[in-house]
Amino acid sequence: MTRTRTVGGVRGERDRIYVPYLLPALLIYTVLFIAPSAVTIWYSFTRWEGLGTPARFTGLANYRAMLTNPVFLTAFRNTLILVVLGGVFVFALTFLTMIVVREMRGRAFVRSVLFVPSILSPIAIGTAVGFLLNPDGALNRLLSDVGLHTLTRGWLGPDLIFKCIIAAVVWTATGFYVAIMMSRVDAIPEELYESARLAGANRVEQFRYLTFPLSRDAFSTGAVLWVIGSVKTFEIVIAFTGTAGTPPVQARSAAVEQYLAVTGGISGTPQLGSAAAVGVVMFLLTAVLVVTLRRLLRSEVVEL
Amino acid sequence: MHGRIRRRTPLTGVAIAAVAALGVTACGTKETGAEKATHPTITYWSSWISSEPQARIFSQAIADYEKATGVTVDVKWLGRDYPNQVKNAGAVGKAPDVYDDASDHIGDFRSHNLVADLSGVLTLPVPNEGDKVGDVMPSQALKASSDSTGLALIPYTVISSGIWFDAATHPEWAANPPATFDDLLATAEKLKAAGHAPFAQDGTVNGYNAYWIYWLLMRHGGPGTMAALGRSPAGWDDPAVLAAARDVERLVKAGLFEPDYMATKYPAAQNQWASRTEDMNINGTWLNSETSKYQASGFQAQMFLFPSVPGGKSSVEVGTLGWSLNPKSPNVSTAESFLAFMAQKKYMSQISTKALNIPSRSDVPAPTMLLAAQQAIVGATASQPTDDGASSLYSGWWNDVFLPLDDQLLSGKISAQQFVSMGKSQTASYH
Repeated sequence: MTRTRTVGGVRGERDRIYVPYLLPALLIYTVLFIAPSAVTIWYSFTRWEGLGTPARFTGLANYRAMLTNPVFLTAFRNTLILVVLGGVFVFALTFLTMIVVREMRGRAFVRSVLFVPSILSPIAIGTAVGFLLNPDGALNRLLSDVGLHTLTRGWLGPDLIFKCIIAAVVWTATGFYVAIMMSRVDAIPEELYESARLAGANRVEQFRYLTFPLSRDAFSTGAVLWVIGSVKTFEIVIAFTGTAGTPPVQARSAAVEQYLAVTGGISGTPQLGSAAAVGVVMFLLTAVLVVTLRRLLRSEVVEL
Repeated sequence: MHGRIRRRTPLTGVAIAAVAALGVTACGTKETGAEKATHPTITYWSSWISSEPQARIFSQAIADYEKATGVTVDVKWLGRDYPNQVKNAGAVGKAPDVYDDASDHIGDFRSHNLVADLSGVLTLPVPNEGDKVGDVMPSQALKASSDSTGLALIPYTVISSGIWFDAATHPEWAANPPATFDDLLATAEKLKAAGHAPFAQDGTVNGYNAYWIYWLLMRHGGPGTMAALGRSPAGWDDPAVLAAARDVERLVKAGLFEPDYMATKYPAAQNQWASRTEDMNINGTWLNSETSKYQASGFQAQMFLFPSVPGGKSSVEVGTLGWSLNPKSPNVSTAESFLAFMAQKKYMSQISTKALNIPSRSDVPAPTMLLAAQQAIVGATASQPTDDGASSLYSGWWNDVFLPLDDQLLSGKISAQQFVSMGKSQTASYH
């Protein structure tokens, strides 16, 4: 490896000339991101009820309360389940779609159709959930009509609601990751597939030995995006549980717990210090998961 | 539903709060250096949107006030996220002179130093009438509008809760509602035997599920029993708590709700009640106006009070919606005269006739469906705030301990005994 940078001398001066050009962006980044993040960390060590009230330093009290609160621990566990289990489903379906759709006619159309759930408003989903999943909703009626009465359930009850939420997250997210992965797959030269076919490779083998290795960098990017997005899961929970009450514990994510702290829940006073502590924990969780994922998926990029 | 925050829209709420935090400098009242005009302008931020009956009633009253006094009222119809906007504006010294408030929000606004003492308004005469403001407001409504510091809002609407039914289908309940909880269960079981689901329950709304245990706690132990549960584990040792939980257990075991009630997403159950699928729905005084579009032909919504229990306590629930004043306003005296003007019978009566709510004035009759509740409130000697104040006093405990536990009780997952023992231990852990 050749050392390309030198300290001092003409090269160093040339490097330093970029500093004034970089400064405005750095300044904006500091004001809009680094400073608010630092302030959030500070507030996580306080008891604060919002603008216009004093913030009292309470040390680690918010973190201790959070980590000994079984409800937060349930919400945290739900978030992890959503990230891991939801991620497995999302990418399994994405890979399956890649195998089936790659050679399909009209694949651009299929891709667009799969993408539609990603752009649906959570409010629309929330309304549809009522029509579909209420005890006398469309799903139970359909099951009864086709003789599957024994399969009807109270889908939105405390026992099943989180499973329904995971299914909905997978449904809304998969199209987005199919779009990312397929854009990479489109760049793989067709000759490689022709050679594979001549060598007797079936579709699954083509995926295993060609498509996946050659789109691995896109998968890595997609997986990181998934982790960042799913740790923040919030609006889909609200879409399922509604806004008339607080979501049942079984359905809460870390972001929902943060929201309840920000608003004070029903008739309560906001606890912004606690909310900041939840935010810090969510950030740390995201950072750990992303770094782990990047290490696991690290590979040489294949130049085509 | 208005007074309780059970129906806030979180996404818009968060967004509006953010926008308000950025935009407060564009509106509000200057608290320092305000020029004293001959006819000052006062600002009023409302929890209603302009298309709602209350906004139409208040708009007319404001126009009359401006004409009568020369004072200009700069009103903003903000909708339900108004608390965030008022608090954010208050933080930068731009809070309005007058804003809508609710009895369960007093503590929140008080912690932001946004609540002026309104006892002086009670001594002002109501314009065009002989009485003073304090003479026409029932004592229980004023009690609900106060905290330990003093009177925080001048109420225009009283909120309560009870059991709603259709008086066209059940005229017998209009005249003689079930007097005891035993009577209520017996009545419901007769309906069940006839093939009905007696009670509609939007079981995904944990706050609505809590109505049962809340009312039974009030009947067995009286006001304060529920708040005591959040205050310390010792509150759970009160025998009234187990008695109330046992009554909830009886209700659940009797199977008197619609099928899969715990999985029914709001507002499906209350709309089913309005279409006569079920006979009764425990809910707030706002239920009639909320379900009016879905009520079957000839439906006559009416509410009876939660029945008594043998040897139990008698009290009424009183929550209020009203107006608060910003203590830092340079126009406090003008704003006080504005509140006295708004308390006139001709405006308050429209709270009953147009908004279909219970007006705060005891001399203005409530709509027929809420007359029983109003009469009980006016004549009551004991009252409690909504949820006995537990949801606002101990909001974290309420969301993380009480409501999840109550959902388990109402769904039949735990017994009354388990409810009490788990409640006590979880409350101890929470504190």
